[in-house]
This record gives sequence, C-alpha cells and structure tokens, in this order.
Amino acid sequence: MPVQAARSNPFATEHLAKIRYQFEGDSLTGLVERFASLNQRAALVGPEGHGKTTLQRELAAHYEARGVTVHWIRLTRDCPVLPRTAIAELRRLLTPDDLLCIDGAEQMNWWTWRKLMRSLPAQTACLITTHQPGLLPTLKQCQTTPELLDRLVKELLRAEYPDWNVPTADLFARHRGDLRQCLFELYDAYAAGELHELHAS
Amino acid sequence: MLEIELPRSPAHFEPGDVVPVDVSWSLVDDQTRVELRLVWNTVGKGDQDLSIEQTWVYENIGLSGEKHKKVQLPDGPYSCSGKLLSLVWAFELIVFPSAESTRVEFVMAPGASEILLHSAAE
Repeated sequence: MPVQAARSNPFATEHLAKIRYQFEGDSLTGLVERFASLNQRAALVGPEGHGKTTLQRELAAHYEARGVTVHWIRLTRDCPVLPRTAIAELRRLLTPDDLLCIDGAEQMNWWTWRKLMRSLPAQTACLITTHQPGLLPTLKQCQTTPELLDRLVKELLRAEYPDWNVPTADLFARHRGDLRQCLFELYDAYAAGELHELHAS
Repeated sequence: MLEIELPRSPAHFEPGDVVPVDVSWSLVDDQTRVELRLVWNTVGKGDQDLSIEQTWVYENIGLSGEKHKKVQLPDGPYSCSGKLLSLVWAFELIVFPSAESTRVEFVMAPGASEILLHSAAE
C-alpha cells in the first residue's frame, strides 16, 4: 500500500480544526450562565487532549458574536513564556468589556500569573485553560469518553469513507483519553495505508 | 452563491502559465466588496502555513456580478504531496463583510503534475 498524500488525509490539521466542541450533559447556554455567576473569571480544567481549547474557542466565538472583543494568549510547552512586553501591552489594550482568553495558563509561573491578574481591569472577563484547578474557579472539568472519540472519528471519515469502521476503544485506552494523540495516531495510520488495509480486510 | 471557474478540469498548470479565471457572485444581502485571492497553503499533521500571493479587489459589487481575470501564475512553490505535508494552490473568492467564501484548488508544478514525495498515492 503506497503512502497516502497528506492532502487527502481526513485526520489532517485543517479537518481537526473544524471539529466543534461536543456538549455532553451540559450546554453552551449553561456554561455561559455559570461563567457569569463566577464573575466571568474561570478555568476550563483537564489533561491534554481533553477538549479544553476547543471549548474555549466555542465560548470565545459566542462572546465575539455578541460584540465582545476577545484577546488571546497561547502558551505551550514549546513557548511557555509571555513576551516581556505582553503585560504592559495588555494593560494598554484591555477594556472592562473585553474577554481575555489564556490557553495553557499552567505554563505561567506564579509571579507572572499574579502580575497578569493584577494588570486586568476589574471588570474584564478572563477564561483560561489549565491542567490543574486552582488558578481561577473551575467552570468545567473537561473529560473525554471512548464514545466521544468514536463519534469524532466517524465525523472525520464521513465525507470520504462513510463505510469505514475504525476501532477506537484500544486507541482511547492507549492514549488515556488524550483525543489529540488518538487523532495523530490515526493520521499516521491513514498516511501509512494501514486504515485502507484494515478496511480491505 | 459564489463561483470560480478555471479553464481545465482537472486544473493542472505549469509555473508561469497565464490562467483565465471567471468568477461570479449572486448574493442575498448587500455586501461591500469581493476579493479574488491566489493562495497556497499546507495540509498535514502539523501547523498550517498559508500565503496570499495576490489579491484582486472588486468594490461596489451589487447583488450579482461576474469578472474575468487573466492571472499569471508565479514560479513556485510547486504543488507537492507526501505523508506529512501537501502544498496546495487555490483561488479563493471572498465576500466582505459577510466573509462568505468559495475555493477552487489546482495543481501548479513542472509538467503540470503534482510532485509526489515518498511514493505518496494520488
């Protein structure tokens, strides 16, 4: 089986980026109400690949559609430090009506976190994602299930391979519910032609 | 409705080719302008790169209209595909402020054929 071209891979980044957050047992409206009840400063908590960033984007889009200006800070293991001028820049930019989204807030050290929080206007909303609770009140503890992975895989395959049945239970267990890693592995399996072979067998 | 028409199907071209592009739009609401863009982007497992090579802006567009443009394609980069990455060329038509858009992809490489890396399947 030849290597499959990246542009035809249903697990390519451009397709993953279009996946919407799948609400289970809650709703966007419910979370917005809870966020308001937490004085619009709260955290989406969970391990990597558990949907925190996807949910954060969903909530940000909700507020943006209602005229709120959303500012983003994205921190990762590869890029864990705020640029030196970032806090001063935020102080200049932020207004009380804005929403500040920080993705990967656990990367910040305590001093930077404290300085950042002190620099926010009192009414400015702040929604963070973080691996551990404690920085801000928890808006939602993000979780994944094997059924959720199964649904996402079916959704990604629907356009080109609607009759493919990819077993996902082992994959989910192997990556301990980290859906990003599960989907990366499926990208590699597709690229190597393994999913075609699986379907053919 | 937005449409982009290219003269060949499949749309495969050589670098430097002059490509006649027909675009048309039929809109429900008034919009201020439409942009035709020549772009390339990467597709694959990692972060996506996007480059807007050229943009043509049409103002005062009304609810419907059409334009014809002869576009000279650049010298590169070439369309190519491997396991981890594909480089894809496209024309995009975007209406503002609604941001409704459509896109037609094409191949641009020597021999008008996508370069396949590591025996990637077509």
